Amino acid sequence: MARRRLTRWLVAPLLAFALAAAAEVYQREADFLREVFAGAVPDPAVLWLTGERRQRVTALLGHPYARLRLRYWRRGPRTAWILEETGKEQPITAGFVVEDGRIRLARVLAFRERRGWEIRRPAFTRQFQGAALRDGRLDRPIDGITGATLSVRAMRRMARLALWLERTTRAERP
Amino acid sequence: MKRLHLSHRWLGLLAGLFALELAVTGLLLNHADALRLAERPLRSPWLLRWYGLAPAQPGPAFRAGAHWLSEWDGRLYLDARPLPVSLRGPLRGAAAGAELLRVLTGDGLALVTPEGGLADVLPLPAGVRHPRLLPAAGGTILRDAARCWRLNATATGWRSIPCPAARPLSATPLPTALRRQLRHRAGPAVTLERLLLDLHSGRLWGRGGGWVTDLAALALAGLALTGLTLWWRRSRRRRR
Repeated sequence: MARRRLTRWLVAPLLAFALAAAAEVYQREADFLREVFAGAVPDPAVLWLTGERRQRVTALLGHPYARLRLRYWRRGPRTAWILEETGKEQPITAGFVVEDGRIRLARVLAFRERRGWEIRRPAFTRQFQGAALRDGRLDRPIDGITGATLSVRAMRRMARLALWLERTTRAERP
Repeated sequence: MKRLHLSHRWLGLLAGLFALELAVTGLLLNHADALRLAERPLRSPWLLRWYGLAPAQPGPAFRAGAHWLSEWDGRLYLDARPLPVSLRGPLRGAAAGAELLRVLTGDGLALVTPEGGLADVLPLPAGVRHPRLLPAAGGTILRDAARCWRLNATATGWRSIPCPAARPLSATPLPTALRRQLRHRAGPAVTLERLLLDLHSGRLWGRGGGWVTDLAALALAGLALTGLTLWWRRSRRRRR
Protein backbone atom coordinates (compact mmCIF):
# COMPACT_ATOMS: atom_id res chain seq x y z
CA MET A 1 0.00 0.00 0.00
CA ALA A 2 2.83 2.33 1.01
CA ARG A 3 4.77 1.35 -2.12
CA ARG A 4 1.77 2.15 -4.34
CA ARG A 5 1.37 5.57 -2.68
CA LEU A 6 5.09 6.24 -3.12
CA THR A 7 4.93 5.26 -6.79
CA ARG A 8 1.98 7.58 -7.30
CA TRP A 9 3.88 10.47 -5.74
CA LEU A 10 6.90 9.76 -7.95
CA VAL A 11 5.03 9.15 -11.18
CA ALA A 12 2.57 12.04 -10.97
CA PRO A 13 5.12 14.87 -11.03
CA LEU A 14 7.06 13.16 -13.84
CA LEU A 15 3.88 12.78 -15.82
CA ALA A 16 2.95 16.38 -15.17
CA PHE A 17 6.35 17.52 -16.37
CA ALA A 18 6.16 15.37 -19.48
CA LEU A 19 2.70 16.69 -20.28
CA ALA A 20 3.81 20.25 -19.70
CA ALA A 21 6.85 19.79 -21.90
CA ALA A 22 4.81 18.19 -24.67
CA ALA A 23 1.80 20.58 -24.57
CA GLU A 24 1.92 23.06 -27.42
CA VAL A 25 -1.28 24.03 -29.24
CA TYR A 26 -4.10 24.67 -26.77
CA GLN A 27 -6.56 26.06 -29.29
CA ARG A 28 -6.35 26.34 -33.05
CA GLU A 29 -6.69 29.74 -34.65
CA ALA A 30 -9.90 28.74 -36.45
CA ASP A 31 -11.51 27.44 -33.24
CA PHE A 32 -10.59 30.60 -31.34
CA LEU A 33 -12.16 32.76 -34.02
CA ARG A 34 -15.32 30.65 -34.15
CA GLU A 35 -15.68 30.99 -30.39
CA VAL A 36 -15.03 34.74 -30.41
CA PHE A 37 -17.48 35.46 -33.25
CA ALA A 38 -20.08 32.87 -32.24
CA GLY A 39 -19.50 30.80 -35.36
CA ALA A 40 -19.90 33.68 -37.85
CA VAL A 41 -16.26 34.47 -38.50
CA PRO A 42 -15.80 37.51 -40.78
CA ASP A 43 -13.25 37.52 -43.59
CA PRO A 44 -9.86 38.64 -42.37
CA ALA A 45 -8.47 42.06 -43.13
CA VAL A 46 -4.77 42.63 -43.61
CA LEU A 47 -2.54 45.19 -41.95
CA TRP A 48 0.94 45.63 -43.39
CA LEU A 49 3.59 46.52 -40.81
CA THR A 50 5.70 48.75 -42.99
CA GLY A 51 7.02 52.28 -42.85
CA GLU A 52 5.97 54.37 -39.88
CA ARG A 53 3.66 51.67 -38.61
CA ARG A 54 6.59 49.28 -38.39
CA GLN A 55 8.56 51.87 -36.44
CA ARG A 56 5.70 52.35 -33.97
CA VAL A 57 5.34 48.61 -33.48
CA THR A 58 9.10 48.29 -32.98
CA ALA A 59 8.93 51.00 -30.34
CA LEU A 60 6.03 49.21 -28.58
CA LEU A 61 7.68 45.81 -28.57
CA GLY A 62 11.29 46.88 -28.25
CA HIS A 63 12.11 45.02 -31.49
CA PRO A 64 10.58 44.57 -34.95
CA TYR A 65 7.56 42.27 -35.13
CA ALA A 66 8.42 38.85 -36.51
CA ARG A 67 6.12 39.21 -39.53
CA LEU A 68 5.53 41.87 -42.13
CA ARG A 69 1.76 41.69 -42.12
CA LEU A 70 -1.04 40.85 -39.70
CA ARG A 71 -4.41 39.36 -40.39
CA TYR A 72 -7.19 40.53 -38.12
CA TRP A 73 -10.92 40.00 -37.90
CA ARG A 74 -13.57 42.66 -37.28
CA ARG A 75 -17.31 42.57 -36.76
CA GLY A 76 -18.70 45.89 -35.63
CA PRO A 77 -16.65 47.12 -32.69
CA ARG A 78 -15.22 43.65 -31.95
CA THR A 79 -11.76 42.81 -33.31
CA ALA A 80 -9.69 39.67 -32.91
CA TRP A 81 -5.89 39.59 -33.13
CA ILE A 82 -3.65 36.55 -33.18
CA LEU A 83 -0.12 37.56 -32.29
CA GLU A 84 3.23 35.88 -31.72
CA GLU A 85 6.01 36.95 -29.42
CA THR A 86 9.09 35.15 -28.18
CA GLY A 87 9.22 34.27 -24.48
CA LYS A 88 12.74 33.07 -23.83
CA GLU A 89 13.59 31.28 -27.07
CA GLN A 90 10.36 30.06 -28.67
CA PRO A 91 7.31 32.00 -29.92
CA ILE A 92 4.13 32.18 -27.86
CA THR A 93 0.90 32.49 -29.86
CA ALA A 94 -1.90 34.41 -28.18
CA GLY A 95 -5.35 35.58 -29.23
CA PHE A 96 -6.78 38.93 -28.12
CA VAL A 97 -10.27 40.31 -28.51
CA VAL A 98 -10.35 44.10 -28.38
CA GLU A 99 -13.45 46.31 -28.44
CA ASP A 100 -13.44 50.11 -28.29
CA GLY A 101 -9.94 50.30 -26.92
CA ARG A 102 -10.28 47.62 -24.25
CA ILE A 103 -9.25 43.98 -24.11
CA ARG A 104 -12.27 41.70 -23.74
CA LEU A 105 -10.41 38.42 -23.91
CA ALA A 106 -6.78 37.27 -23.81
CA ARG A 107 -5.87 33.65 -24.37
CA VAL A 108 -2.70 31.68 -24.96
CA LEU A 109 -3.27 29.57 -28.07
CA ALA A 110 0.11 27.87 -28.34
CA PHE A 111 3.11 27.63 -26.02
CA ARG A 112 6.43 26.11 -27.07
CA GLU A 113 8.84 26.65 -24.19
CA ARG A 114 9.61 24.20 -21.42
CA ARG A 115 8.87 26.66 -18.64
CA GLY A 116 6.38 29.44 -18.18
CA TRP A 117 3.29 27.63 -19.51
CA GLU A 118 1.36 28.85 -16.44
CA ILE A 119 0.47 32.00 -18.40
CA ARG A 120 -2.25 29.98 -20.13
CA ARG A 121 -4.21 29.75 -16.89
CA PRO A 122 -7.40 31.86 -16.79
CA ALA A 123 -6.28 33.28 -13.43
CA PHE A 124 -3.43 34.99 -15.28
CA THR A 125 -5.11 35.92 -18.58
CA ARG A 126 -8.19 37.29 -16.79
CA GLN A 127 -6.00 40.17 -15.59
CA PHE A 128 -5.98 41.58 -19.12
CA GLN A 129 -9.76 41.92 -19.34
CA GLY A 130 -10.75 45.56 -19.48
CA ALA A 131 -7.15 46.74 -19.93
CA ALA A 132 -6.59 49.78 -22.13
CA LEU A 133 -3.55 51.59 -23.46
CA ARG A 134 -2.39 54.71 -21.67
CA ASP A 135 0.79 56.47 -22.85
CA GLY A 136 1.96 53.33 -24.57
CA ARG A 137 1.52 51.16 -21.49
CA LEU A 138 -1.28 49.04 -20.08
CA ASP A 139 -3.47 51.01 -17.71
CA ARG A 140 -3.26 48.39 -14.98
CA PRO A 141 -0.59 46.21 -13.40
CA ILE A 142 -0.42 42.59 -14.50
CA ASP A 143 0.84 40.33 -11.74
CA GLY A 144 3.72 38.10 -12.79
CA ILE A 145 4.21 34.38 -12.24
CA THR A 146 7.34 33.04 -10.53
CA GLY A 147 9.38 31.12 -13.06
CA ALA A 148 7.47 32.59 -16.00
CA THR A 149 8.84 36.13 -16.09
CA LEU A 150 9.77 36.17 -19.76
CA SER A 151 6.46 34.59 -20.80
CA VAL A 152 4.54 37.16 -18.73
CA ARG A 153 6.48 39.98 -20.35
CA ALA A 154 5.75 38.57 -23.80
CA MET A 155 2.01 38.53 -23.01
CA ARG A 156 2.16 42.13 -21.78
CA ARG A 157 3.89 43.22 -24.99
CA MET A 158 1.34 41.43 -27.13
CA ALA A 159 -1.52 43.00 -25.15
CA ARG A 160 -0.08 46.48 -25.75
CA LEU A 161 0.34 45.67 -29.41
CA ALA A 162 -3.22 44.37 -29.79
CA LEU A 163 -4.61 47.55 -28.20
CA TRP A 164 -2.49 49.80 -30.38
CA LEU A 165 -3.40 47.91 -33.53
CA GLU A 166 -7.12 48.12 -32.71
CA ARG A 167 -6.81 51.85 -32.15
CA THR A 168 -4.99 52.21 -35.48
CA THR A 169 -7.69 50.36 -37.38
CA ARG A 170 -10.71 51.79 -35.58
CA ALA A 171 -11.08 54.45 -38.24
CA GLU A 172 -11.77 51.68 -40.77
CA ARG A 173 -14.81 50.50 -38.84
CA PRO A 174 -17.86 50.59 -41.12
CA MET B 1 74.41 24.53 -8.68
CA LYS B 2 75.30 22.80 -11.91
CA ARG B 3 72.41 20.42 -11.38
CA LEU B 4 70.11 23.38 -10.85
CA HIS B 5 71.33 24.96 -14.09
CA LEU B 6 70.66 21.77 -15.98
CA SER B 7 67.20 21.39 -14.48
CA HIS B 8 66.41 24.98 -15.34
CA ARG B 9 67.57 24.45 -18.94
CA TRP B 10 65.58 21.27 -19.47
CA LEU B 11 62.48 22.70 -17.85
CA GLY B 12 62.87 25.70 -20.13
CA LEU B 13 63.09 23.52 -23.23
CA LEU B 14 60.15 21.41 -22.13
CA ALA B 15 57.92 24.27 -21.15
CA GLY B 16 59.04 26.72 -23.83
CA LEU B 17 56.80 25.58 -26.64
CA PHE B 18 53.83 25.11 -24.36
CA ALA B 19 54.45 28.52 -22.87
CA LEU B 20 54.36 30.05 -26.33
CA GLU B 21 51.08 28.32 -27.18
CA LEU B 22 49.54 29.22 -23.82
CA ALA B 23 50.65 32.83 -24.16
CA VAL B 24 49.21 33.25 -27.66
CA THR B 25 45.89 31.50 -26.96
CA GLY B 26 45.60 33.24 -23.59
CA LEU B 27 46.21 36.63 -25.14
CA LEU B 28 43.53 36.06 -27.77
CA LEU B 29 41.03 34.69 -25.25
CA ASN B 30 41.59 37.70 -23.04
CA HIS B 31 40.16 39.83 -25.82
CA ALA B 32 37.52 37.36 -26.98
CA ASP B 33 34.68 39.91 -26.88
CA ALA B 34 36.56 42.58 -28.79
CA LEU B 35 37.73 40.06 -31.38
CA ARG B 36 34.23 38.49 -31.47
CA LEU B 37 35.74 35.05 -31.33
CA ALA B 38 32.40 33.44 -30.50
CA GLU B 39 30.97 34.80 -33.75
CA ARG B 40 33.58 33.26 -36.02
CA PRO B 41 32.44 29.82 -37.11
CA LEU B 42 34.94 27.27 -38.41
CA ARG B 43 33.64 24.52 -40.65
CA SER B 44 36.74 22.76 -42.03
CA PRO B 45 35.82 19.11 -42.69
CA TRP B 46 38.83 17.84 -40.70
CA LEU B 47 37.96 20.06 -37.73
CA LEU B 48 34.33 18.95 -37.72
CA ARG B 49 35.52 15.34 -37.92
CA TRP B 50 37.86 15.93 -34.99
CA TYR B 51 34.97 17.26 -32.91
CA GLY B 52 32.72 14.41 -34.01
CA LEU B 53 30.33 16.77 -35.80
CA ALA B 54 28.59 15.66 -38.94
CA PRO B 55 28.13 18.11 -41.83
CA ALA B 56 24.59 19.36 -42.49
CA GLN B 57 22.24 16.85 -44.02
CA PRO B 58 20.23 18.14 -46.96
CA GLY B 59 16.48 17.76 -47.03
CA PRO B 60 14.16 18.44 -49.95
CA ALA B 61 14.61 21.46 -52.19
CA PHE B 62 12.06 23.23 -54.40
CA ARG B 63 12.42 25.77 -57.14
CA ALA B 64 10.18 28.84 -56.78
CA GLY B 65 10.59 31.06 -59.82
CA ALA B 66 14.15 32.37 -59.81
CA HIS B 67 14.71 31.17 -56.25
CA TRP B 68 15.45 27.94 -54.42
CA LEU B 69 13.97 26.82 -51.13
CA SER B 70 15.79 24.06 -49.31
CA GLU B 71 15.89 22.40 -45.92
CA TRP B 72 19.08 21.54 -44.07
CA ASP B 73 18.88 19.85 -40.66
CA GLY B 74 15.38 21.24 -40.16
CA ARG B 75 16.35 24.83 -40.99
CA LEU B 76 14.95 26.47 -44.14
CA TYR B 77 17.00 28.43 -46.66
CA LEU B 78 16.02 30.80 -49.45
CA ASP B 79 18.86 30.44 -51.93
CA ALA B 80 21.94 30.75 -49.68
CA ARG B 81 20.15 32.81 -47.05
CA PRO B 82 18.68 31.28 -43.88
CA LEU B 83 15.01 32.03 -43.33
CA PRO B 84 13.83 33.21 -39.88
CA VAL B 85 14.38 30.58 -37.23
CA SER B 86 10.66 30.55 -36.39
CA LEU B 87 10.03 29.04 -39.83
CA ARG B 88 11.08 25.43 -39.56
CA GLY B 89 10.74 22.31 -41.58
CA PRO B 90 9.58 19.94 -42.83
CA LEU B 91 9.61 21.67 -46.20
CA ARG B 92 6.80 20.28 -48.29
CA GLY B 93 6.75 22.59 -51.29
CA ALA B 94 7.43 26.04 -52.65
CA ALA B 95 6.10 28.19 -55.46
CA ALA B 96 6.54 31.72 -56.73
CA GLY B 97 3.69 34.18 -56.27
CA ALA B 98 3.03 37.61 -57.72
CA GLU B 99 5.12 39.34 -55.04
CA LEU B 100 5.62 36.78 -52.31
CA LEU B 101 7.01 33.28 -52.40
CA ARG B 102 4.81 30.51 -51.04
CA VAL B 103 6.62 28.06 -48.79
CA LEU B 104 4.67 25.03 -47.58
CA THR B 105 5.89 23.76 -44.21
CA GLY B 106 4.54 21.66 -41.39
CA ASP B 107 3.24 24.84 -39.72
CA GLY B 108 1.30 26.14 -42.71
CA LEU B 109 1.85 28.19 -45.83
CA ALA B 110 4.51 30.82 -45.27
CA LEU B 111 4.52 33.95 -47.41
CA VAL B 112 8.11 35.06 -47.85
CA THR B 113 9.57 38.08 -49.63
CA PRO B 114 12.30 37.45 -52.24
CA GLU B 115 14.71 39.06 -49.73
CA GLY B 116 13.89 36.40 -47.11
CA GLY B 117 11.52 38.43 -44.93
CA LEU B 118 8.61 36.54 -43.38
CA ALA B 119 5.32 38.20 -44.32
CA ASP B 120 2.90 35.72 -42.76
CA VAL B 121 2.20 32.07 -42.03
CA LEU B 122 -1.26 30.98 -43.08
CA PRO B 123 -2.75 27.95 -41.29
CA LEU B 124 -3.78 25.10 -43.57
CA PRO B 125 -7.43 24.03 -43.90
CA ALA B 126 -8.64 21.85 -41.04
CA GLY B 127 -7.91 18.17 -41.34
CA VAL B 128 -5.31 18.45 -44.11
CA ARG B 129 -2.93 15.48 -44.18
CA HIS B 130 0.27 15.26 -46.22
CA PRO B 131 -0.27 18.58 -48.04
CA ARG B 132 1.41 19.31 -51.36
CA LEU B 133 1.35 22.24 -53.75
CA LEU B 134 0.05 21.93 -57.27
CA PRO B 135 1.33 24.00 -60.18
CA ALA B 136 -1.14 26.80 -60.79
CA ALA B 137 -0.74 29.72 -63.12
CA GLY B 138 -1.64 32.92 -61.28
CA GLY B 139 -2.56 31.21 -58.03
CA THR B 140 -1.67 28.73 -55.32
CA ILE B 141 -3.36 25.36 -55.08
CA LEU B 142 -3.00 23.03 -52.14
CA ARG B 143 -3.96 19.39 -52.18
CA ASP B 144 -3.95 16.42 -49.90
CA ALA B 145 -4.97 12.84 -50.69
CA ALA B 146 -8.55 13.67 -51.57
CA ARG B 147 -9.21 17.41 -51.60
CA CYS B 148 -7.93 20.66 -53.08
CA TRP B 149 -8.04 24.31 -52.10
CA ARG B 150 -7.11 27.54 -53.82
CA LEU B 151 -5.54 30.43 -51.93
CA ASN B 152 -7.78 33.51 -52.19
CA ALA B 153 -6.72 36.71 -53.93
CA THR B 154 -5.62 38.45 -50.72
CA ALA B 155 -3.68 35.36 -49.56
CA THR B 156 -5.69 35.27 -46.33
CA GLY B 157 -7.71 32.08 -46.67
CA TRP B 158 -8.51 28.95 -48.62
CA ARG B 159 -11.41 28.09 -50.90
CA SER B 160 -12.33 24.49 -51.59
CA ILE B 161 -12.14 23.60 -55.32
CA PRO B 162 -12.33 20.45 -57.45
CA CYS B 163 -8.89 18.94 -57.82
CA PRO B 164 -7.28 19.77 -61.16
CA ALA B 165 -5.50 17.06 -63.08
CA ALA B 166 -1.94 18.03 -62.21
CA ARG B 167 0.93 16.37 -60.48
CA PRO B 168 2.09 17.94 -57.21
CA LEU B 169 5.23 20.03 -57.30
CA SER B 170 8.09 17.75 -56.43
CA ALA B 171 11.49 18.25 -54.86
CA THR B 172 14.35 19.07 -57.25
CA PRO B 173 18.10 18.69 -56.74
CA LEU B 174 19.80 21.98 -55.91
CA PRO B 175 22.30 23.43 -58.38
CA THR B 176 25.77 22.11 -57.50
CA ALA B 177 27.25 25.48 -56.59
CA LEU B 178 24.38 26.35 -54.26
CA ARG B 179 24.44 22.90 -52.73
CA ARG B 180 28.14 23.23 -52.00
CA GLN B 181 27.62 26.69 -50.53
CA LEU B 182 24.82 25.52 -48.26
CA ARG B 183 26.62 22.37 -47.17
CA HIS B 184 29.36 24.63 -45.90
CA ARG B 185 27.09 27.31 -44.44
CA ALA B 186 24.23 25.28 -43.04
CA GLY B 187 26.04 22.75 -40.94
CA PRO B 188 27.31 22.79 -37.38
CA ALA B 189 30.42 24.81 -36.68
CA VAL B 190 33.12 25.11 -34.07
CA THR B 191 33.65 28.72 -33.06
CA LEU B 192 37.14 30.12 -32.97
CA GLU B 193 36.62 30.81 -29.26
CA ARG B 194 35.84 27.15 -28.62
CA LEU B 195 38.92 26.05 -30.55
CA LEU B 196 41.19 28.45 -28.66
CA LEU B 197 39.72 27.40 -25.31
CA ASP B 198 40.33 23.75 -26.12
CA LEU B 199 43.87 24.50 -27.32
CA HIS B 200 44.57 26.55 -24.20
CA SER B 201 43.38 23.83 -21.86
CA GLY B 202 44.80 20.95 -23.88
CA ARG B 203 41.35 19.41 -24.22
CA LEU B 204 41.63 19.56 -27.99
CA TRP B 205 43.87 16.50 -27.77
CA GLY B 206 41.46 14.53 -25.62
CA ARG B 207 41.72 13.51 -22.00
CA GLY B 208 45.51 13.02 -22.23
CA GLY B 209 45.89 16.53 -23.60
CA GLY B 210 44.64 17.97 -20.32
CA TRP B 211 47.29 16.03 -18.39
CA VAL B 212 50.02 17.19 -20.76
CA THR B 213 48.91 20.80 -20.20
CA ASP B 214 49.06 20.18 -16.46
CA LEU B 215 52.64 18.89 -16.83
CA ALA B 216 53.55 21.93 -18.91
CA ALA B 217 52.09 24.18 -16.22
CA LEU B 218 54.14 22.35 -13.58
CA ALA B 219 57.23 22.65 -15.77
CA LEU B 220 56.63 26.42 -16.06
CA ALA B 221 56.24 26.63 -12.30
CA GLY B 222 59.46 24.63 -11.90
CA LEU B 223 61.18 26.95 -14.36
CA ALA B 224 60.14 29.97 -12.34
CA LEU B 225 61.28 28.39 -9.07
CA THR B 226 64.65 27.20 -10.39
CA GLY B 227 65.16 30.56 -12.07
CA LEU B 228 64.41 32.44 -8.85
CA THR B 229 66.69 30.13 -6.89
CA LEU B 230 69.56 30.62 -9.36
CA TRP B 231 69.09 34.38 -9.27
CA TRP B 232 69.01 34.45 -5.48
CA ARG B 233 72.18 32.37 -5.13
CA ARG B 234 74.01 34.42 -7.73
CA SER B 235 73.08 37.69 -6.08
CA ARG B 236 74.27 36.28 -2.69
CA ARG B 237 77.62 35.32 -4.22
CA ARG B 238 78.02 38.79 -5.75
CA ARG B 239 77.36 40.46 -2.42
CA ARG B 240 80.16 38.33 -0.83
